[in-house]
Amino acid sequence: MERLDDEAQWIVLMGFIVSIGIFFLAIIISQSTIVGQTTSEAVLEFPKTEIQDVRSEVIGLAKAWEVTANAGELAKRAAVLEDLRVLAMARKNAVLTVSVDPVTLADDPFNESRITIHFNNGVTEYDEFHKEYIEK
Amino acid sequence: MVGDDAQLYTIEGVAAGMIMLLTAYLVLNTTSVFTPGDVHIPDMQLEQTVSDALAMMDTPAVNGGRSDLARFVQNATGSGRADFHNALMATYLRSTTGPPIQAPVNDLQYEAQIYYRQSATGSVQNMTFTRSAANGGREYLAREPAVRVTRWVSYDPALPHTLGLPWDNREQALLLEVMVWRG
Amino acid sequence: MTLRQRYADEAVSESIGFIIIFGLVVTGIALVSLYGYPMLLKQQISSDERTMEQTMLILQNDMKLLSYSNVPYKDTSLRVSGGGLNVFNTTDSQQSFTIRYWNETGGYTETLVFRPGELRYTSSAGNAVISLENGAILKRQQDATGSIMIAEPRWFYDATTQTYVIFLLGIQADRPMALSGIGNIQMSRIIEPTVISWDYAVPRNVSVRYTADPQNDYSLAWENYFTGSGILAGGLTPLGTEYDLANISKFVLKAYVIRIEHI
Repeated sequence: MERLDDEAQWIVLMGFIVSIGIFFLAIIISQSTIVGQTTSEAVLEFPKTEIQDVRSEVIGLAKAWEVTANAGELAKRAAVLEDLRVLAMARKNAVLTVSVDPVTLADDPFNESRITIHFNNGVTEYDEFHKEYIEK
Repeated sequence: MVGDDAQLYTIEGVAAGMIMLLTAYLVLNTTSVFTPGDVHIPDMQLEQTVSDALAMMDTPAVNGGRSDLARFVQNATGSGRADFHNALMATYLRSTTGPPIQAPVNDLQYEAQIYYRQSATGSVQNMTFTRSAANGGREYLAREPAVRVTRWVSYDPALPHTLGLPWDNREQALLLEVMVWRG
Repeated sequence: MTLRQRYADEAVSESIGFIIIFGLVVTGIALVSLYGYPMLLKQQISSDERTMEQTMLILQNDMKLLSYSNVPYKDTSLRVSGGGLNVFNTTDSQQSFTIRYWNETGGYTETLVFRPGELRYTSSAGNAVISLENGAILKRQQDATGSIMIAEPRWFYDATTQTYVIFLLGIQADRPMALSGIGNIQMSRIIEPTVISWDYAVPRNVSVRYTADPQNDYSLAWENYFTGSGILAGGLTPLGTEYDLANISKFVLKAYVIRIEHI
């Protein structure tokens, strides 16, 4: 047996310290995997482009629709809005109701089209009341 | 003669090494998490790209004009098909800033359907608008991960349109659905 | 007077010193294996379960893409550790959903019984059971009666239009399948969903009942979902074993079938 030097315990101590360090790092790593995995699915779920799309479609319709009391014309317009409702439920699983109501503004170079959009797909609910001004 | 100095150091060194190895082994075993948590990120990017392409196609060049997409749909049984293909694949999905390059989107394949409501029955019907396989692309065969992008398009019977359109000849809103995959 | 004592080290034995230090090292190792190892094992079990919860979330998202986004195929690679993942066909599932709604054309109350099928993970080292059933992720302990819902399905009630929308997600598997370890799950949804859609002239009631599998009871989780604010603020009204929602003008039910082709 050689001479015993009590400074040698540093080696074992370092072993312990490094091990404990690895252990704690491992706990942190295992916690961190929870974060970050829901980002892409949240983006996939959030119907941003769908709402933008509906909005641009409806405003496009409103621009083309002038004030009228013609029953046939009103029925045609109702059919278009019904298309939106039925197709949104059938293909996008979303409740979509839209109304477009053109109003004549006196003493104004513009007419007003009052648009309401209601969209709900169970994750996101979106309601908008928008006034689109259309040149007479 | 074998030097017998520092035997104790050696034993302790071996013990320390074993402790570290054991911990590293246990730790790797317990916390190696195999989570395909990011699998939806490419889907998300693809969806956004195609949705942007359709939005650009649906934007009229001048305020109040008809968009390219609306024109393609008016001609859905004729020239609209090839026009849509060229616009989507050649113009919009390959547009980059700077000088034109062969952007790595050549492997994108698509299948476009138009959904419409028949007012007589109230039922939802669809027609195949066009697909990349009909324009020199590949069929959807190998279970590639696909995404689906939709865009509303208005149809106006008063404007020029091709014959044989399956939907009612009235002003209406159609839903264009494009399934896209890398294949 | 000062007493100066000389430190005598003649009696110190190097052997005893070695034994003491070696003993300390052995005690250290023993302590690590006695306390550290079980702790790590426990950590491993809970990390396996957590990994599985996440994997189930991924699968739920894939199913959402298959059903709501109309994507035909979805393949996902996954790792199942510390237990096994089993696929139960719709016809094999003991649990069921009974939905009663008014048939507007027929003028009577119709009853629909739906068996959802299941993707079930059973921990072998721990005692957790995690299931993907009808679009929801559920978890329970094998030795306890309670259960929780980790992720909810997408049923909803739109108050503005008084529309009640129910999505049913069935899992179809041609043969019993199980997975332990790293594998690939192949899913497809080629069949169009069965759609029931009614516009009611007079507002009607729709009621839902969950019949649990006695071996794998998730009734508490579903009860909490029905009575919680997942579908609408305030939840459905419990009536006996049923959960009722009144004043519905439009009722839409979509039943999707997702085929697990291979796992």
